[in-house]
Amino acid sequence: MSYRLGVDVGGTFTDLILFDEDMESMHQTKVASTPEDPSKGVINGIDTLTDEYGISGDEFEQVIHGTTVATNALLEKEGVKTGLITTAGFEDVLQIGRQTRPDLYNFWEHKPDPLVRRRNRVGVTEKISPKGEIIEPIKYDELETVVNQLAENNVDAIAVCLLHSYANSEHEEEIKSYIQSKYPDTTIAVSSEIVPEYREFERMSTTIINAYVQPLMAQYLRQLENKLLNQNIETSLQIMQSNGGIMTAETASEKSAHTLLSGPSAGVLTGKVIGNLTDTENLITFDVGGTSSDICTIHEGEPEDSVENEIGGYPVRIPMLDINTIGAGGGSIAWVDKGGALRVGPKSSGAQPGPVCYGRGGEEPTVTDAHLLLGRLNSDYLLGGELEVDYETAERMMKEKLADPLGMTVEKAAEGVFDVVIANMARGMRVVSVESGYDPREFSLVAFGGAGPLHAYRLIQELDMEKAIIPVTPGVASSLGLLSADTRHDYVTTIVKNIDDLSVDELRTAYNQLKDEAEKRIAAEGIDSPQFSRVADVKYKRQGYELSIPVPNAVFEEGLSMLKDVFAQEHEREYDFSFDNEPIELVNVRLSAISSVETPSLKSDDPQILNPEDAIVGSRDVVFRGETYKTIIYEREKLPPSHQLSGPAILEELSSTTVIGPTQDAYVDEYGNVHITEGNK
Amino acid sequence: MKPNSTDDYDPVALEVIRNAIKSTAEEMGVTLTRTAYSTNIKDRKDLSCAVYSKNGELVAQAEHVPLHLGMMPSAVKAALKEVDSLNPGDSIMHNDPYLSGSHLPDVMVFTPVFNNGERVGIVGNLAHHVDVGGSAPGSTPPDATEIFQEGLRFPPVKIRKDGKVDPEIVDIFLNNLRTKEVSKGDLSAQISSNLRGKNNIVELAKKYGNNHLISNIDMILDYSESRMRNSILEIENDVGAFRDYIEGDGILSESTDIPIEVEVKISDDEIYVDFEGTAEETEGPLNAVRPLTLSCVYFVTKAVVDPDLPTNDGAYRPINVHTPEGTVVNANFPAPTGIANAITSQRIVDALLGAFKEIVPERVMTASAGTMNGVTIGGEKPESGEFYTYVETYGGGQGAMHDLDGMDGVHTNMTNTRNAPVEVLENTYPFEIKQYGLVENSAGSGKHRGGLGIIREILIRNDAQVTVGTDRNRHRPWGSYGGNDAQGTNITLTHPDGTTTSLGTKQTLEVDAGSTFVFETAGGGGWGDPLERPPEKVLENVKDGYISKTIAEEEYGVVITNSEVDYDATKELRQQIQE
Repeated sequence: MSYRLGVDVGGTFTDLILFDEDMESMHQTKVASTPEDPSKGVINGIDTLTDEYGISGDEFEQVIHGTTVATNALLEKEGVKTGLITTAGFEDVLQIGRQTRPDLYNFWEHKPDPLVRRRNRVGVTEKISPKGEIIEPIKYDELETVVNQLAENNVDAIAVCLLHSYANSEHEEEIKSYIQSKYPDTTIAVSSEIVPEYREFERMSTTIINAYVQPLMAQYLRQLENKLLNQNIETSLQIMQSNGGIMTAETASEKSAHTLLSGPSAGVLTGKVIGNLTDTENLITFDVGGTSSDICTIHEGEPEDSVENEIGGYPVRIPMLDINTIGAGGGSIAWVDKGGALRVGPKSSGAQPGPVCYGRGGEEPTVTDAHLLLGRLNSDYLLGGELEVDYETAERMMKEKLADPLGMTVEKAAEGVFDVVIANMARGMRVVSVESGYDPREFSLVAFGGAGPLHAYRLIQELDMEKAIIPVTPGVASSLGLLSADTRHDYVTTIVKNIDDLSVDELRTAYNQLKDEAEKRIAAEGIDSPQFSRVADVKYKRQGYELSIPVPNAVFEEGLSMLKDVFAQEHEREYDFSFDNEPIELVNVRLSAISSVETPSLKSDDPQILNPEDAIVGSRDVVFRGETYKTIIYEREKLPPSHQLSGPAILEELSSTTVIGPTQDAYVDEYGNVHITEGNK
Repeated sequence: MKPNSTDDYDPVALEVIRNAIKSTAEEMGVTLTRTAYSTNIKDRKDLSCAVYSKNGELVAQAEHVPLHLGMMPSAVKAALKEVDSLNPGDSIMHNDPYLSGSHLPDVMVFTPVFNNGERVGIVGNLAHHVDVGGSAPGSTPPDATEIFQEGLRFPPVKIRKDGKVDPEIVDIFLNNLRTKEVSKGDLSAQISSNLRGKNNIVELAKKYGNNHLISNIDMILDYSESRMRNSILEIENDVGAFRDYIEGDGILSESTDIPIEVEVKISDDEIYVDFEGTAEETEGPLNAVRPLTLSCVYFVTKAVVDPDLPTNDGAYRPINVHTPEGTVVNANFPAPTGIANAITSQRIVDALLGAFKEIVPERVMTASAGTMNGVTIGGEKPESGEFYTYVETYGGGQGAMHDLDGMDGVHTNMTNTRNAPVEVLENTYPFEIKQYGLVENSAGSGKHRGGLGIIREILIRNDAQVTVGTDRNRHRPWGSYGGNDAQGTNITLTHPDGTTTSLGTKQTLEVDAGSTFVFETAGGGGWGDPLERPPEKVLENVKDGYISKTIAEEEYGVVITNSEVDYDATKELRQQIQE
């Protein structure tokens, strides 16, 4: 037998998911993460799986890994000592950034410190024009001096970012070869290779981030590969990227900045898998953890992505899934502010002490406590009995901290906490839907993570969405996405040109060059017959923001006026208006090379005959909009496929609890996913 | 703690509807930024979007620029008085500074929101157009003496009736501008942004019912008021006063001091601000109309009292502001107002921070760069002959706080607009940018140092007209508690023949092709005695080139030998300086 393994390393837990070669039977496990060396946790998890299911290392056919090594290095400022070489006179661009402050009113709220100290930001005299002509060659005596200076300062990595290098990369390449010849061990990141787009600060920032995290990523992946070898796992290691595709560990060791959203991307792909299984094209994925929720839109089967990203306050101009992370989760703390309003988050009780009801010393009422007091969570035990619930303290804290100051009952306060967190979550969903021109009413919600299924029923009411889908084992569902990831590489080049002045040949040549580059990379990774998709960033000449539009094959036959039509339609959809006869400008051409994998099937090959009556474990009082309902509690695993039930109902399982509202119906599909709809739909 | 004006006060509905209204203002901002044509709006985000009650009280504002805080409430209330009836499908446009408090380039568009025939709210936005006519490109000539030289002034007019834009009004507007095509796009973006906002509010009204929405909007205002009052109560009753100066008004010479004087009084849960003693209206365009002054007061109050407070009319109720009639903080028609936004506003803030410093020193900072450093360059592109106008404002150093250094090279106080990337500038204008960086040694020394100013060096390849509107050359950003003043603003022009002249802070001049324009903005003032700054921090600053070895010795008393602190020599030198 051969197996495919997905490993997602998070802050608290490392989730592993295993499929056999037919992609039919699935095993999962969860082990504690080991932040000092995440590869230990990975190996612990693999040991657990191999012991439990009697699998040997050489049976692993593929290992796909979601990692936070680069993310943590950036957020915790633990990357390597990095230097910057730029055009003389522009060494401070990195520090000035866009000259804005992060908070308008708080004088103490400062920009994050630049990742490269001023002493390690050095300039070289050279000049390239915006059109790419070399106006002044590199002054080599200066280059020698500054490179030696960086070496004396013991930098481990050097980023090279010169003005207008998107138009002509020659000077950057010269500098790279020069450094390689003198200091072959230094890591070098070159802006025209990493993100050849105009706007120097964002390009510089992205290049530096790559240099800053790359040596750590390379080292980590080397260690992990060695440890896998010790387990007899010889298959190549694949790494999840921020764009929802995978790449080899070797590529990830170079393009490390492409892994900054590695973990959250896996969750989005889980939504995509569920969408495929259930024939749902338009989805909002909603992955709720203890402190935060990740929200992303999948439109017509494809997750939305964005190139205008910021991580930890640093711009990253790399295509990433457009994931909106909000500070609302199960552990979010509820409080009363100075004006007497009830607020929830962004502070969270975290893993320690956790919600009050966990009985670990938490004293601030959280969203989880509210659910408990409303009857939605089991008041005896949680996590399948691993955790005893302290109901009395949760009730007392809700009264002292919220109900009394607000002059309301405990029940009303608890429901208030729920309403406010729902409002915050709904707002986060509007950002990825309405603000991007999508109507949430045409979307279904896929909710997972420990706390997602508690909130889904109400969010679909709030946003008038079609339905909510709760995948099987929602608490560990995000690792499922790893096994459905395609291999994907993105390429870009900037051509700032009025479309009327552009020829079809020019456009074709640009795409062909990107395609050559992609094919080289893909051949090196040993992948056959990739699909290529072409996108262009286009705007009205005088606008400052481009829209990314698909470039269909027909453009090369029918001409560029077709591209203009596509743009006008997209502008109309996004902003409700478009202009006739306004000049339209091309800014970037983008190419993605994608090689697809088979999507895992979750269908049980040995369906047990289940009697729905056996799934009922009891009933309890649950509060919905101020009214108490006697509500049936089901054990979710025992609900048979095709079973229908009416709300109110609670479905309990090890990793999560699903709520179905009084006006709603639920349906269990053949894969075990639960679909929640409003009764009238 | 809860507001007492309503019986059915519900903290949950309040938070939920407040969230939805705030989202609406933000979505409007996104639409406007993404569709606008001018760099000012699309890249620098010189705009604000707001949602109002049906009577024009500000309920929520998407804030990009604090300058608009007081203007957004004033502009709509004043416009409502001028327009006799508002019907579904209408939108109102105006750019009258005497109604809004801003300058002419700030064009506002308001759209009433109706549900089932009843007005439930108003949405609106303000955007800085690149030009609205007048005697100089950019419409803020520093030598204007009347509003008429500053450009076209539109009273509140219906630019949209029955859902249709009035092409005649649009034509009158566009025909008077230098950059007609750009403003056409910007105006469409403004109207589209309001429609997005309107649709959202209609949805809310449908969901909650008109009456419930309207009463909740009142409660949102009461909530902010109550929260502001509770925050003011945390400060002890006290009085502080301060006087600061602007150097000349564009007409009067720069050696003339124009005082801004202010007294701040905390009295239980209210704040009284009095500008008695401030200079009379100036002949040149430094004049702030009262709403601009209110913006400054609201900004400082919010920053000092409760930085996270949701901005709306309710929050402003406990703040009482006296602006003597006919002064530079309360000017009247036809006083020119063009550069009050960029200069006067920042000086009012410095004066207010100085006054608050006497009451709550741990909540304020020293003087920052003190002006938005406005630069306009206009002319014909040498290749195409096409007319261009470049407008940008430059950041500087932030003032220091009692426990923190100021930020380097950043916009402070009343503005937060982004810079134009060098690559965008060189792609768009006939410029070669020779340098863009921090000005070494420009910060005020102190136990906590101020931030550094910015240097921008532009080689202009055509004959051009250059306008600068700045300040803080003589009256440099002040330090406090023994901290030093920062280096001031300096502008020079190097002519094609290699000679260099020093420029004034408020002037328009013609420059020859091949001239190099160098603008150094001011730093931020220091806080506390520089001799108390840990020598290690001084050493790190020297290694990074933020300060020179000379300043380390002369101002901080720190002796550095071979890249190390010489502690004995430092101790001795610090003692010497102290004596």
